[in-house]
Amino acid sequence: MDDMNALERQLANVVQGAMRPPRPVDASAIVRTATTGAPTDRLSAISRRFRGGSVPVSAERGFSMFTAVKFVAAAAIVALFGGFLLASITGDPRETAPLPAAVSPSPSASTVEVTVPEEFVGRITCGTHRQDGQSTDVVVGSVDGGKLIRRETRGQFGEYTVDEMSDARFDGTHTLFMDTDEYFFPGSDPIGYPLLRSSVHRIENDGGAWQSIGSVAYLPGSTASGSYLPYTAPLADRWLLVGEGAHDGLTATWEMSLVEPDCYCWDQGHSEFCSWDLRGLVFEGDPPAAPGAPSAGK
Amino acid sequence: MSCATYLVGMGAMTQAADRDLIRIIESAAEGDEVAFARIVATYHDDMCRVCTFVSGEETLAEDAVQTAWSIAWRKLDTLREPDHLRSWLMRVAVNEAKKLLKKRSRRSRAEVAIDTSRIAGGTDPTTGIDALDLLAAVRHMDPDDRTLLALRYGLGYDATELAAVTGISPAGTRQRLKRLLDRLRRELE
Repeated sequence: MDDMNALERQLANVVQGAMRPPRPVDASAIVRTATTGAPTDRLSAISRRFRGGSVPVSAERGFSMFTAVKFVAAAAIVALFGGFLLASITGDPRETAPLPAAVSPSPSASTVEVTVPEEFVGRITCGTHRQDGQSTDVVVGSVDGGKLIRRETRGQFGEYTVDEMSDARFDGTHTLFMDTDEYFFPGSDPIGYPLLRSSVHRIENDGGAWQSIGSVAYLPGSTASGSYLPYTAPLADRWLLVGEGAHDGLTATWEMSLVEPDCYCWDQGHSEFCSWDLRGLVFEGDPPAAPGAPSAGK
Repeated sequence: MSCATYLVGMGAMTQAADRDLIRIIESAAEGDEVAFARIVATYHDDMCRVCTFVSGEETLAEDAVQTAWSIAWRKLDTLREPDHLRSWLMRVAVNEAKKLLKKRSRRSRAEVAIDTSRIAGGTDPTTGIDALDLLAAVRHMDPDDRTLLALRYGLGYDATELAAVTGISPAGTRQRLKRLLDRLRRELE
């Protein structure tokens, strides 16, 4: 710090005086707390549960996925997505409870191998390998004498690292590719403009790949406490993934929930610690086809 | 966990050779709690001091740093450059402190309490600025600026280390520091 000017030297004196003096540390107690509170334990408990392993009572209290109500909900999803019967499953009486009336029995149910949608959970974190993309401003109109700009950003992508995944089929390289259009007036308050996003979430692993394609509009108005996002960022995203290669013929749906509500993958300095909890189902075949819409005027 | 507990002496690893450091990080990443404790003993107090300066609240700083250690325990194996351990840990801790500060104050420019008892007042004849005025200006800065000041002038980080903590380039960090000093000069001279 020899090359400091007078103000920097004075600032160094003030800052060092204002920072409290060094103190010794109880490292073992800090390590105990750090190593026992990691979310790994929580997710492992869920994972064991889905594999039929024994789960400590305390862990079951926290994650009541197999309560009767949720079981009925899961059964309804089975009926919606596949039409398979659960009647042939044996085991825990809760799991052989009568299905809701919505499930139609199939004559061949007793001879067909039953495939139940499997639930999986995981946690992924924004990785450091990402690209901001190229932005082009296009004047798309004028309002009250001001130009309305559409900022078209293309070629953004970011990789996620997988922290936990109860189903190995969703392990691997997760990459989010996105293109966005933002609408705003030059010089206006940067908070509060809409954003349209089209994105592809792709997972690649040894067994094959999964891909989800979707578009979404974010409404104006920041929900982030630091107001660094100009639009209403979702706290949860839902995706429908289609299997390829070894996963061909399978479909998965999941919900991604932000662990910390204000996190944003492209926020410098925060992104590596911005995590999403995943909860999803993988099932055979496709979801029901979209129903035919009534014609206009009918 | 209190930052003020007096049990293990500081700096247990500060003289460790690079090879030792790599070995310690690898062991800790593989789940060796003793190795992890050596890292904690070395860096914990500096992380607490910086977070306290950034947030103005010692309790908040302690919570933030404890959370940072939980994250470090889980993610130490993702650290590619052992040389960057100090700045990596500091970044995690400062980010956690800023998150907590944001949650509590819901304002990014909250005035923070900073201990003035160890600062001698009076005007510096070279700068013409009173030390307490300078401190008052620091108290009104946003957390990002206070982070830069604590790391640069409190702990002596260079531009490369600052860049690793703040996530902006070394050149950008130097620019930001220069702008910060210019602003202080304009406000106080």
